[in-house]
Amino acid sequence: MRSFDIALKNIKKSRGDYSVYFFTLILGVAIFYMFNAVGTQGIMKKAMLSSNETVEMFVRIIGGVSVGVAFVLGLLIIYANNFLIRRRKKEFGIYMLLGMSASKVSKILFIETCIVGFISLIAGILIGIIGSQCLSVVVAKMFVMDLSGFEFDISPKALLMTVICFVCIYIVVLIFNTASVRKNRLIDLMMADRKAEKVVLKNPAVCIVLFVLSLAALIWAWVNVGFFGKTMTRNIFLGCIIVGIVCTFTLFWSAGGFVQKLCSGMKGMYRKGLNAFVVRQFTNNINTSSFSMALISLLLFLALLFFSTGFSIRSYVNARLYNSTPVDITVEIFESDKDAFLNEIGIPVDSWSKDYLEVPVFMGDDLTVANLLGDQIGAASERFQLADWDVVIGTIRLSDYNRIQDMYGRKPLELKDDEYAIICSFDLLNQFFNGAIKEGNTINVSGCELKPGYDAVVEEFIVMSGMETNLGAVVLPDVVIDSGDSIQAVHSNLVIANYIDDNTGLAVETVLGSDPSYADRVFFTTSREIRKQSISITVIIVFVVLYIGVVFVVACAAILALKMLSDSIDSASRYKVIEGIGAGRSSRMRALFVQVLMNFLFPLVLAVIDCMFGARFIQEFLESIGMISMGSGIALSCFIMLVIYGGYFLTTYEGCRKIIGI
Amino acid sequence: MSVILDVQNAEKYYGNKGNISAALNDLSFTVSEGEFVGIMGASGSGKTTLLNCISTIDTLSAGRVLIRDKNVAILKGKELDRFRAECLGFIFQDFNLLDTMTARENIALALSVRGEDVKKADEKIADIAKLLGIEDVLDKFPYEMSGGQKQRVAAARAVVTDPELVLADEPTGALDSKSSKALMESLGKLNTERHSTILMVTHDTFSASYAGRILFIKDGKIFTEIVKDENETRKDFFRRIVDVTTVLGGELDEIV
Repeated sequence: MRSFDIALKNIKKSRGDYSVYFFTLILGVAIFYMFNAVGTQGIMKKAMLSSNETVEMFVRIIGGVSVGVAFVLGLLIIYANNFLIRRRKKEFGIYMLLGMSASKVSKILFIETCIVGFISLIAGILIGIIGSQCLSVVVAKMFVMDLSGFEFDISPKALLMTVICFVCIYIVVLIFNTASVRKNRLIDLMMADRKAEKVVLKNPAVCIVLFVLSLAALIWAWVNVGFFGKTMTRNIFLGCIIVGIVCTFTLFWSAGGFVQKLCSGMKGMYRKGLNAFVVRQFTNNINTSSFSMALISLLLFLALLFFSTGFSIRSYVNARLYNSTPVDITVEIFESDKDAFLNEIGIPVDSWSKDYLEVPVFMGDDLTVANLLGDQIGAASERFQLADWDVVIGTIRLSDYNRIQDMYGRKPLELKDDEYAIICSFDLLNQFFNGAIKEGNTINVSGCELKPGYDAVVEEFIVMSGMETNLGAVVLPDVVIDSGDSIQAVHSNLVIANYIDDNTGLAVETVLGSDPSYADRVFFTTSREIRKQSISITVIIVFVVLYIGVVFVVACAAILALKMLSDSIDSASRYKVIEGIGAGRSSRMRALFVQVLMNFLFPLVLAVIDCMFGARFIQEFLESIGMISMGSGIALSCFIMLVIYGGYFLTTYEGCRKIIGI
Repeated sequence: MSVILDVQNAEKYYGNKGNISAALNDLSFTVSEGEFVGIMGASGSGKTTLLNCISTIDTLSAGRVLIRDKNVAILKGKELDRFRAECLGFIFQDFNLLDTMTARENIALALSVRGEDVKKADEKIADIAKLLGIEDVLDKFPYEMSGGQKQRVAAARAVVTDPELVLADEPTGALDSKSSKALMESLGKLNTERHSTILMVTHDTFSASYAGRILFIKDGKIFTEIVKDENETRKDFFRRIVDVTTVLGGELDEIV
């Protein structure tokens, strides 16, 4: 028989063993291709509005992360492969006993690895191609983009990268495999499956004490992080992290003994059907692999946290975008005759907008930042040492401002004739303005004494901006501006407008941006530009977070699955025994199902609890910098977790069932 | 006394067309309630095949196995599971105790899979442990016990459910002579005091001498059968067994 035939037969024969290996390989390839390809796809270009720089940055960042990801996946695949080799040592031993040379056995193994690698690479890339299209659509939906111009495409660069990466990983696997056959003595190969079954028993009293202590410490850390996050000192925060990590390990170390004691205490439940057996199996699983389980739990926690924060940043950006871009364009023209300027460059307002507003902004010598800050100027100077406090802030008539409010869909302001209001959305400065207003700081404009009309800064913007760091303006009653002599010049003219349609809008933007010399005469901000900027940044964040998170989950689930599978080789004989005792097929299947499920659930449950408190902390933090709830992010991340983790769970259950032979 | 096991014209063939070898060749016997029957024979004589067919692990090519007048071959799925749970108890050469559970839990599991009440189960476990002298090791794990203790725990687990028939496959195979003796005495006790019906496969003459009747199998057929007389000592019975095994080992006229 040719080596190739033997290899093919072997793969068919050990389908059950190969399932998790295959699943991991295919998933790995698919994820790798998906994230590398998505950056160069049409929809992403559209997301970043053909700004090549951001697309390039995206591709570069994802490429960088991919190096780390390839490393993790490589280790994972080698780990999975070692499980397969261990399981088949006896088979190789028999080949060699029958007179096959070690090099021939290696050759068979080589061919097997190649076939499996080839099939999984092809399957993974196919899934990846479909997946990357879906990912594009999801992104488009996430950031409310239209899907016209969406087309099916394949990224040759990503394809090449995926193939190169995985061929490298396979070559490493091949070297490992060949070595593992050659370095083993025949006796070891033959006796491989007679290794004593592992049973680890721990002192129950120690376990109970340690478990309770660990849990108490964890609860302390959870409560601290979750409820007192805002007031926590740096040291306590670090303490929480250390306690969280250490206690996760001790919790898993002691959980087996604790659960065993707890369950065997409840005699009625414990001694029903196969319950005692299942509990013993489960606690033995935890006892033999407490370290890896704790590690998995921590990694899952990180993945969950990544997901939920990543997505909440996304929903924050969407919400903020909606509020900060109420019109298509705001133009500031620094000339007294704006119409003359617009006519000169060939875009009179009427030609491109039917829904617009023209507002003059005035200048007054008395309206410096220093005057508005009043007694707060000392504190402000300490904070911003290089600031020029004599800079003049523009002023707007109350009636004009209320027309802007109407256009933006906001509430009008109300001021008496001896009152003023500060409009500013620059948080760092606002605290000082607010201080001044609280002190009742009055300003003197053309001989009129004006007092604050509102008890805080009006945190709104006049000109759109991506950063929300507008220096703002002062709103004064109409009479003060129109009659005062200290208000002389027109600082600038604002045009706030919605386009007739997208094409005319684009044309206008092109004209305005076409000549660098216009920069002194006009400043314009478009909602298109703002969206572009914030979307491309968040798209990058969301993708990196998704990428790393998904790889973490895959790694955790795969390690857990392989652990369960190699354990099930040990427990096969135990299941045989309970069959002999009289446990029927269905009850044995149920026992196995519960055993595998508990192993998968235990680390996940702890990770979810960790994440609930951790996310609370992060949410408080996000709220303090103005972001909103993380609800949707958590829901989406749960879904992703469920699909990957659940897939692994089912594959593992099926694999165990085949190995045990139920 | 009623018949528990009735093997009728059992035949078992291995291989395919043109190359058939018979492991069981028209073999018939019965076991009555309360009997302790030993089956002896050389390696390859068909002992294990016979035991597998009785215990429903394997099926016969022809003939029938009736347990309490029920044909085990036609049982399937849940019915088969229930039958195995209710009618049969197994003792294996390599103990087959669950290494993750204590002796008590091992025995209790046999009862709990049958849905036995916890309180009743505890009583039963206490009784059987006392009979087999394993009270001290009840809360120990298999790795803390000697081979003999393990096998007695296995025996306890096999009989605690009061099965119609206890099948023992080389129960002393992995034990030293002292443990073997203790175990066989235990099995004898189970037979005399609990009236368990035991069918034991062995090729150890000493172990076989504890049985009440011995079937000798050769080439898939019953070669002969000897029954212990009521007044016969075990020593005498042992001698008769040795005699038969000598003959069984090879007939003089086969040597050319």
